Amino acid sequence: MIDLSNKTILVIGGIHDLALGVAQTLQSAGAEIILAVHQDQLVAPQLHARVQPVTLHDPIQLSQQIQAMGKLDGAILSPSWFNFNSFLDTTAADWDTALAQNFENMTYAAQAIARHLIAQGKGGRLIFLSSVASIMPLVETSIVGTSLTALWALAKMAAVDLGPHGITVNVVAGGWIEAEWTKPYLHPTGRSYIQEGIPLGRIGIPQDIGNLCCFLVSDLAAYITGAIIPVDGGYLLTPAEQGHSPYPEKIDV
Amino acid sequence: MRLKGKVALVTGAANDRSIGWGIAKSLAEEGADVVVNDIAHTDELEARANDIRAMGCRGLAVAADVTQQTQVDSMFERTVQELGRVDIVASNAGIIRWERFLDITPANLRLIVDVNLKGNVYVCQAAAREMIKQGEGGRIILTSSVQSDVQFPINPIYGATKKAAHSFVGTLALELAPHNITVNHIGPGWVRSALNDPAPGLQTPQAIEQQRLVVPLKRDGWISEMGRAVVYFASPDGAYTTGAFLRIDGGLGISKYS
Repeated sequence: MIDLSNKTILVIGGIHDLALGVAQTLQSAGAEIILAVHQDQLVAPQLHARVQPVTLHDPIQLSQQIQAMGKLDGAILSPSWFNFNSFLDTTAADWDTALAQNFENMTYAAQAIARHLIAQGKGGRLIFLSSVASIMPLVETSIVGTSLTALWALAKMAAVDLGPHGITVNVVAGGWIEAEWTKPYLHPTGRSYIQEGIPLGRIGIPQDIGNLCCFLVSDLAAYITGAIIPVDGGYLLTPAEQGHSPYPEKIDV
Repeated sequence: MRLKGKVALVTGAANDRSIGWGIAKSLAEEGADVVVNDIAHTDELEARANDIRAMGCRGLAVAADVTQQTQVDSMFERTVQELGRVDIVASNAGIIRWERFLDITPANLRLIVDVNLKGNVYVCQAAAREMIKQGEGGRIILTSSVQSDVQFPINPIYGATKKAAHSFVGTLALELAPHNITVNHIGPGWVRSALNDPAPGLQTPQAIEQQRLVVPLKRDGWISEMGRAVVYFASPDGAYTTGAFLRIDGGLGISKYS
């Protein structure tokens, strides 16, 4: 078991099922968690953590808010737009929101956290939560794929610039995960339909992502930087099948 | 003359040293009628349309800002009004700024995302809708960069948008395939275009020589070579190629060493 006691990890961005599951996993490994919640986000997470309101879209304020957090060892940066839409139906407003939430705000947060870690002088860890849609283009993921692929490239370049400061930057790419945005597809027939295409035969849970995050924030991962790691039960490995549309029917939940 | 009777639209094509102009000229050399668009260098835009006409094709200059969806939509309306249709769209307009990760400014981040990502979204959406309406398929070609494959320091946001283009092109290729619209992108390496003139690493003859030596083929790329690649994707030769990325970089993106 990885021991993260004495580590303080910030979880910042979208505070959804995935981010909360990751935070819980880190906490079970002994980490102290700070949840940076956007000011208009009224979630009351079932987690014993410091909750810190932040203004994600305002880089100057955000920088001050992060400095005020004190000791930090690393951060989980959590994009929040994971909706599926066909490209022809996407609106300019969808793109504005998604690129802001998944790319621009994550860039500001990473930059502010990196500056704080540099000032502390002990290196650190940045981990971006992402999707396998950033590794392989998938139907109905023009927005998710584009915004998270941009984030992956940014992570690689940030890894170069932050390496001399002992800060590593990595990306965790989830496949099908139990979360708000997959719920409409995960009714009983949808679930078995999707599981057929996953070699490990089940939908992932946030803890699967959290387990990798535990490793990446730990001292064991000191020499890993600029990497993207899929946590998808093998979903990316299986080919398309005849007569098999990519997603099951969506049901409102 | 493999593109006779086709109508093409190229964004970011006003400057005569730009990749966009290399694309527009190559398409006209194959007989296509060409709409040249830009928002920068608009004083040169009419001259480019005249160059197209001098080659015996119909040429049209349309100034429009690709970051403004209404302007993009109007540009396509005008294209169809004046030239009757649109078969080939080269979404080429792009912008670059050189800043290290810790120095990225919000204003530049916003600008690069707007032009390099949202600009492609608006242009491709308008193009696809028109092509679907016409019912005869179509060709969409984006200009990304060698940075779609490999990342370089000092321009993290530009690099991010160019890597993102690969994902974008792939998803569009999947979604538009039922309409027989192909979507591909070209990856220029080092081209001595006006866009690259301010590059911090290219300010002295020695630095340019150094850059030349880094490229396995030991020279910069020419805008005509970028244009010829777009012709491949736009011509019957490219009919079965979709979701593809073609690096045209003298080997710059192959490895760390040359």
